[in-house]
Amino acid sequence: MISAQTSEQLLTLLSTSVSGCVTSLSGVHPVSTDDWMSQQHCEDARLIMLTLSGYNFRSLICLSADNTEATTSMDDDHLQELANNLCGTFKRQLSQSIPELGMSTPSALPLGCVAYLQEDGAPALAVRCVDANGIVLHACMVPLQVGETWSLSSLELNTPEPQALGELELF
Amino acid sequence: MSLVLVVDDSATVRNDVAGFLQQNGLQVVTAQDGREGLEQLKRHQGISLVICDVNMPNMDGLTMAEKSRSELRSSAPIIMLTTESCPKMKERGKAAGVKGWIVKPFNGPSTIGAIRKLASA
Repeated sequence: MISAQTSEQLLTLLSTSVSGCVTSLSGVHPVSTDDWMSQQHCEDARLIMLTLSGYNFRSLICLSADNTEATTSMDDDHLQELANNLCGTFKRQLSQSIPELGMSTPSALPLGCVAYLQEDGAPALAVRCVDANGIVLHACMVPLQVGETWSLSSLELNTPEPQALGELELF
Repeated sequence: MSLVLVVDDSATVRNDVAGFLQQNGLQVVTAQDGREGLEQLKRHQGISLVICDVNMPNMDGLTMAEKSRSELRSSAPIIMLTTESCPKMKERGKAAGVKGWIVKPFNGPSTIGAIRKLASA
């Protein structure tokens, strides 16, 4: 079981990661696990999952879309790429204090799996975001293993500047 | 006209990048993983630049870069376009002859000048 302080730190990291990878956001807000779970009942909703793991850290990163018209206009591949960018942004920030992290490729999963995410008692950390086009997304992190000595205190938690991304670094 | 190979398992990224390059006068072929990327390099000898993701199923982009040099003897410059930015991966890329690194998302307007230069070098 991770501490309340660590949960709070990871939630902050999740929020800054969402802000850094979804463009034209009109807001990112933490939501309770119950609220997040209650959003996952719709048959048409989709869930994209990735894993992020290292020798003393293991977690699931999920991104789900609701069934509003704006969100369903986005195709599955676009949602997967958003989830991929979210996990990559999360990993880049976390890598400041946890070395040797690896991430998976995204998988699209049936929503029935959401109930199993809570089976081990791991508290899901979730945020809800809405972009300028009205697309509503829920980003969720399920920490499965977090090293006891790990802390975000040494991290500089800055929302990645969008203009700093996408630049070509020549070797 | 320069021919660019775009390799990414995401159709969204392939379409976005390929569309932007075509609008800017470049010819494009695509592949959805490293294995297919190598096949495209064999098939199209005139490929003058490769833009490639790192994390992909079947074969990742860094392995593809290494094999393109060691097995195909390709000299086409390679740019990695990825969510990854860890120094170890960049070092592995440099050792494989990768010429540049872009952290996603792709920013076409800011990179097209360098892309043109690399493709015509």
